[in-house]
Amino acid sequence: MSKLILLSGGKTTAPLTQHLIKLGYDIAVFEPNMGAALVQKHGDRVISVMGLYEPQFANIAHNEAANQFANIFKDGVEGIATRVKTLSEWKAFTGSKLKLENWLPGYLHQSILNQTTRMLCLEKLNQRKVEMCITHEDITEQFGGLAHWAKARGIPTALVPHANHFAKPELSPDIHDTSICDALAVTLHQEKWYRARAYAGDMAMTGSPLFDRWDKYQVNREWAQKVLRLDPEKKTIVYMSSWGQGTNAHDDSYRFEEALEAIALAGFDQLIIKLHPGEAPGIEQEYHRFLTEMGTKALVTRQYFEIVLSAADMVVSLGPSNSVVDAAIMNVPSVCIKMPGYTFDHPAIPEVEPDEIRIAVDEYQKWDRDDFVFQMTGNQIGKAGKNVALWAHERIRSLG
Amino acid sequence: MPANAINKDGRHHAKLLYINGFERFDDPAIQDVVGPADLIIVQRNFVHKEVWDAMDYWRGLHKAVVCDLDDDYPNLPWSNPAHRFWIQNASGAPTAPIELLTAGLRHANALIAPSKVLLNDWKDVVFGVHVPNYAEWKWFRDLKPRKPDEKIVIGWGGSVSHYDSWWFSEIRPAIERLCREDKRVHVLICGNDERILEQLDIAPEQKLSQGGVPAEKWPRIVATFDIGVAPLDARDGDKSYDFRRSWIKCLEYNLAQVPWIATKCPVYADFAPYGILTENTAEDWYNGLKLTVDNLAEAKHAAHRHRKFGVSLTLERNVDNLILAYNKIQTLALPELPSVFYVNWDGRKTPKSLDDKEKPKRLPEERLSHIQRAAMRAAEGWGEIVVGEINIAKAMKYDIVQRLNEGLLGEHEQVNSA
Repeated sequence: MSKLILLSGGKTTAPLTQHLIKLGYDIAVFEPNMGAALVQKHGDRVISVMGLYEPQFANIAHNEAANQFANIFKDGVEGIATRVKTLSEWKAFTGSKLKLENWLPGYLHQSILNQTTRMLCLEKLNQRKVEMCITHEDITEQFGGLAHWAKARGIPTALVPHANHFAKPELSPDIHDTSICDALAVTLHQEKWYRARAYAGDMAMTGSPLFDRWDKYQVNREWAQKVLRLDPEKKTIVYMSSWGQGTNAHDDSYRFEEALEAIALAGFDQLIIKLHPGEAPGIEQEYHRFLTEMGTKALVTRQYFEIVLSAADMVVSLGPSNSVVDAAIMNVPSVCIKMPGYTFDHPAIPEVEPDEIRIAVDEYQKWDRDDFVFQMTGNQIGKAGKNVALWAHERIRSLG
Repeated sequence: MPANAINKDGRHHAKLLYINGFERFDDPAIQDVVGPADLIIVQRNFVHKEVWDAMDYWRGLHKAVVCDLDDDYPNLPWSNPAHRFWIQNASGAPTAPIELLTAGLRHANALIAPSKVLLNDWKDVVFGVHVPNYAEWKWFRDLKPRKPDEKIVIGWGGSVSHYDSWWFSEIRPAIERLCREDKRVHVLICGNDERILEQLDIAPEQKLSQGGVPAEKWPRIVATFDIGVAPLDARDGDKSYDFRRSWIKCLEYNLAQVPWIATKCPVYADFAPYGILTENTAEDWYNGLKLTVDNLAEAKHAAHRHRKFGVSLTLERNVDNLILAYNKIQTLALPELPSVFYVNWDGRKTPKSLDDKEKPKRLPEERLSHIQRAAMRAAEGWGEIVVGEINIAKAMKYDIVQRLNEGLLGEHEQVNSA
């Protein structure tokens, strides 16, 4: 039986599958949708972790959640707020979103239920020896839970960051600031970023598999303009919108409105607003209402990132964004609207106030993307997935 | 003809079909002719339900169907014979023809016209694409300018729609004065409107006429002019019927190396450096004509030098522009991508500022830092929720921080709006 590697199944780890299979590993994929897709593609060399679910897991998980819940809340919400010292100061807040009883019990119950279910599936996997767990992030409940499970089981862990981060040091403390994984496979930018935050584990400069997809991508500008019904004679500006994760109080939610208003007023000949996939479901209606009210001509979509970039003359992003890195790889210049607390800190990408965006776009001339792309990708586009797989393979061998 | 230029270029293929054939879209033979097309251009006659059905049928197959107009039908002057049909509704149609024309345009993906003014007139009805009136270079390429002799020929050719152009541009008294003063000057009127020549009060021997000729032979007639004229009726200013015409007369004169004088108006503005644009007064027309007659050799040399501008406006040189314009139209007929929506896409409105909207203020940085540190501390301090051997509380930090921060910012917004 082949050795087994556990992948989180995000966009940066899923591309490792083919390379690791070639190196002789079977692959277990944690994220259920990606797991199902990769099983379909690679057959029995891939296991979908959540596909190991058994009907009795539901009872076990519900019982666990109920028991834990009863224990945690034996003294009610007040009790937990008293026991968990750091929560006590939040008792002073009475706003509906902050009042602990309005969210804490439900959240905890659901979280324990979900995590128990996932762990039951992972435990089935551990009937085979897992050589390494490679995840694209280790901070959310789902993938943080995966990394913590692997650590508790003594499985070597590796993080292939799902993106370049652009937070300035003054935003600390931030939940993204560190990783519990033993080692990181990174870009140059990521290496500097984690070093600046005193990450103590090993780091390997592999590049990010996130950008590998551009290696073989054939840009067909004319076709992209056609399917998006654009006027090829007009300059196309793509606004990459953003969203607040809310994991840092400095994330400026007002900036989103301010930036969108500036974009709507800029009077670009042909404007595409590409929504961030993380924006709230159904927010398209809000954009429609706002743009109609503003009288702004625009095309809005959450999908078709590659097509939109193929048609773009220039990208405007709200705050530093990995979409700007994608654009740079495709040789599309970008201007960034300043987002307090975040920066590219690179001369290739001007960062301006919202009301300066039109002039910044019109007057943007200089475009020396090479160093920017090098910093963000390590010039490993098309090779990063293989680099990470080989690095993981060597690491497993060296760990014995 | 654009079709000829496109076929000659070879990258694309164009076919012409009579409208009564196009109407029979259910006929398999017609379907074989129209079916391969990506773009269908319907000229003028889109005022019948049968044509609309055909347009809708092909649009349903995601072919771009466009209308082509080169005349300002809603404002045809009384002098234009078509006024009876379009304005007076002489055919007694239950619906006014202009309404039918408007309805027909709504069955198209776009309108193409050689006049930007005309496109602007219809902009609230249909998306407009400017396709300039380019000339066939091959018809002009080998033409030689008229050699000097005892006559000086002032020429013009056109349809019966130009009757008012002659009457209300003030060119007639100017020509009459010049002919009286200079017997060398002759006036050659080409086309089927004999009234123009008849009504000129000049000596019969100074009148020359030429009947209609096929389009490909017309440039040879133009080349027999010493001076070309292009009078337009500008009485209504920007609303003038004649201001919806194309630049073709000036372009033809230019390519045939004929010095020209035309009414000063937006139609001929692009040609301003290459001829004389005159105000519509008898005095100005006379001065322009007299100046050219008296300096004919120099004017002809200048016309020869200016020819390269006209060459840049030939069909042969503009196949790429034509295809670009047609491609633009074709995109309108493509099926829409799901999850893409267009706001104000068919006509830009003026963006308005929402300055009067009250914007919440950002908290001071030190306050934000305090909140963030407190949220992180709260998330760290959960202790243990052990399931099996795993402390799952460690994986809850992200959500706890997020919820506390969102709650606090919500609290701040409430305070702000209070």
